[in-house]
Amino acid sequence: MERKTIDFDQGWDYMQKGITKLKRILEGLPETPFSSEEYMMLYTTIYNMCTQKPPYDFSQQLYDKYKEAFDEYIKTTVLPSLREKHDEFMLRELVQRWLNHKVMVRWLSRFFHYLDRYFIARRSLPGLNAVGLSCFRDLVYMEVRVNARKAVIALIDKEREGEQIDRSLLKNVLDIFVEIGMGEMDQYEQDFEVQMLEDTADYYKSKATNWIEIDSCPDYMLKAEDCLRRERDRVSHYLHSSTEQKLVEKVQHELLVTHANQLLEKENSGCHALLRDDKVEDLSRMYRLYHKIPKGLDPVANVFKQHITAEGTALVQQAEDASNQTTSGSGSQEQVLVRKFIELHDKYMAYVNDCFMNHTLFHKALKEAFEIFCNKTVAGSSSAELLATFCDNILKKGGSEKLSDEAIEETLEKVVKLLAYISDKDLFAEFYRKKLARRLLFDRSANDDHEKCILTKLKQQCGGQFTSKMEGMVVDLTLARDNQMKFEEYLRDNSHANPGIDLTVTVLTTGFWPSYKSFDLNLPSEMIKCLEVFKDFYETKTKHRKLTWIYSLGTCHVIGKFEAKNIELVVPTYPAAALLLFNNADRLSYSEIMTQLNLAHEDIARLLHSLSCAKYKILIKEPNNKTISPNDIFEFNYKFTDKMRRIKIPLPPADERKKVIEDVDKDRRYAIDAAIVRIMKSRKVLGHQQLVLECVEQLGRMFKPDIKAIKKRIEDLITRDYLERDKDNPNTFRYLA
Amino acid sequence: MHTLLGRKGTGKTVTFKAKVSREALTQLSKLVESRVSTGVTIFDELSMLMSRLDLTVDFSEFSRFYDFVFFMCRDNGQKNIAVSRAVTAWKLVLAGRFSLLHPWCDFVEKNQRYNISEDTWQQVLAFSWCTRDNLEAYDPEGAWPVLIDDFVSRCTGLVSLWPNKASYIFIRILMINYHC
Repeated sequence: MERKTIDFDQGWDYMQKGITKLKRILEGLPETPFSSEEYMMLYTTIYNMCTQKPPYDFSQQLYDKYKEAFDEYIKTTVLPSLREKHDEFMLRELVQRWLNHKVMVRWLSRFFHYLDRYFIARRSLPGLNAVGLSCFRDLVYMEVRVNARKAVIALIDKEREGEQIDRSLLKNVLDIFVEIGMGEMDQYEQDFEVQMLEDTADYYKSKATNWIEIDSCPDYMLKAEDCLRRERDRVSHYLHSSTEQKLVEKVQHELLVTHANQLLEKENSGCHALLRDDKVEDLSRMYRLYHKIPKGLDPVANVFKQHITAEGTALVQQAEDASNQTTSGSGSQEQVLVRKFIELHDKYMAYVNDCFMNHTLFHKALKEAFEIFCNKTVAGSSSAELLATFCDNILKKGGSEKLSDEAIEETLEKVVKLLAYISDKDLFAEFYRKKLARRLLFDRSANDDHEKCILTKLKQQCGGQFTSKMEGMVVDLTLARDNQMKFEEYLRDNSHANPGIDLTVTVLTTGFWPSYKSFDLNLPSEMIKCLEVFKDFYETKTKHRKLTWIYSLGTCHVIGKFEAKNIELVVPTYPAAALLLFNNADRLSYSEIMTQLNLAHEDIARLLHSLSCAKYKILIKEPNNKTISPNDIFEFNYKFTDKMRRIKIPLPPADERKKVIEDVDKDRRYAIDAAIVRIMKSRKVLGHQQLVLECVEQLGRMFKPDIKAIKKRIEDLITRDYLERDKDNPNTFRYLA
Repeated sequence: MHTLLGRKGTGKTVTFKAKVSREALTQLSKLVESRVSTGVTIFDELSMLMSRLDLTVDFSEFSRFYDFVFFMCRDNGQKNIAVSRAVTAWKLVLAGRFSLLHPWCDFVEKNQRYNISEDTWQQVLAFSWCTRDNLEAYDPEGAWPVLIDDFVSRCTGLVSLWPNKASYIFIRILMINYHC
């Protein structure tokens, strides 16, 4: 049976009834919902009208009519209802109308669906859904968007001021902005977001201007943090998620960036004051607020660095002043300083870890600050020396026996950390080595484990080369004890060789130990025999080794046969040699003693002082004053006595500072030479600036080389034909193989 | 000797010239050694030599002569020359070529403890050439010997109160005053 052709007007009439019914449903008027039959009929009508043979193929007309249906409804019903409402009411109406419209589109596009399948696809026209939505967009949205936006923004500002608003309404309105873009965010961004962001900026700009004048830094920060939290909250409730980043940036900019300087530099509550008053929480907040802002933390880190530097420098000044006032116990001031440095470091490291979340910027600030004041000289001592003395005080007997092992280890750990900030590490090493030598050789070390412990830590921090000599020294001592046992065995086995005096020898490996001058002291004959015996023994163990005796480091136990009683005197070798001279004469002049001992003025004066002008007067000096002069006469003091049976008469240590500095300077010259040669050997040709730069870098682990010193070494190397200047460019050097 | 130094040679004459220079050098050193005993100083010799040479030659020619003067001033077996000798030689050889000659010589005499190395000697000529118009051409970051660095910082240090430009003007005045 042939299908009956549907006439256009007839068909459209039928469709119109369906459309009207739909409209009534949308308006909330009483209507029965569409039955499946009704739906089918409407669909089929369209189908038929589209599949009829031309000229009864009405696809185009139907397509146009579809659109018209929306346009007509919108113009007659929707727009008027919107126009008569304002602000929040208008928004509600808009939301409702949009929902309705979507329903209408859904239904109508189902009725007209057949158009989508062939006609639209063939002609590549916009689909039914798109047409439907664009009707709303073009007629409704375009008209109301500005007012809608204004209304929304007004509500947002209202909420900012603390009033309650209908958040779901805003969400629905903004959903329209998003959906109307039909897959693109353009409408949302251009019609709403841009303005909203600007409005936000203005809002916070005025707030900030107000607050910054009145509020203290912590209060301002609290407000800022609160505002940011609220804005984020706003996004999660009704703004589109893509707005969050931009919104937060705007707020941050107005509240935190624009007024950063003024905020951080507030007189009594800014960054500096917070540090001063240990306001940990406020500083943590400051970190949280500024760390997302590019370069936001730079000024904070700067203030942090300045603050620490100021505190450190003040400590240095304090120590300097204190040592200027007291002449006695001057050493202890500097030791107090090191302790204070450690405390300062602990305090601010805690800040870096806690408040500033371990951020590298703050680690750097701390490091740079410490590098500034840790390298200042205090009362003539460099910081390298101070640290070495501090270690010596902990490690020597009577130094820190009250502290527990853990406490000592902890302190040593912290001292080694401080060393990282000192540029003259090689100077520290040399002072440390000298003091270590004294501890080891005069048995003044409190605890072997602690000695090993600090060497391990130094090795970890500064590398094996730094500690290799020191470790060698410790090993030497162990070996020396073994050696001594073997020596005593030897003496037992060779009784004829026995010198008649108990002799303990410590053999040191040259190179590990600091360099000591050995003088040709004229030994008393008893001692000479001792030396020869040991030499014979040593040659049975190892040939090809040269023994050089360092008398300045020895100790002798001499029995003084005084009138009242015998007393054992524990003295260094030089004074012992001097005392033994009095076995042959009761009175000796300064020059006689000097000639007989064959020592320099310096050493003679020191040893005679310790025997005649110090606590125990073993010798009587004429004239009886406290200074040694070359005209003095010395007489053995028979009447000397003491309640003890054994007394120690040490020599005060000669000032080693000058020698240490000289030695280190010399080593540095060699180190610079070696570095230059090493660099030039591998590069063959290198410009002056580059060479200096690489030298500084290579040597930086141990010390900061002086540019002038490097230049002098270069000149020297040129003279020694290691390098030459390039013929064409005198600023470039060539390596001469 | 003067013909060799005064003319630019072709390729063939250059190698020939080099060979003859070496021979001439050996001869001259022997001459110098023998003359020492007769009481004639090297500076007399040097003056005589200079009078016979055409010293209006260009810079590279002159520098060869200048380098040779160092060689003349050396004692046998020594790598460097004594300060006093260097100063006398400079006053002879660089007269009219180094505007800061006299302040330089004063400075060196007062401040230099060690002997003058060959490299320093050569760099002094380079320095005189570099700063012939003004001291600004001197680059403090350059590879100048430390002695020259110290000299310049002494010169500019004297007028450190004045802004940079003025200090260079002062140096120019200094140069003009000393210009021979």
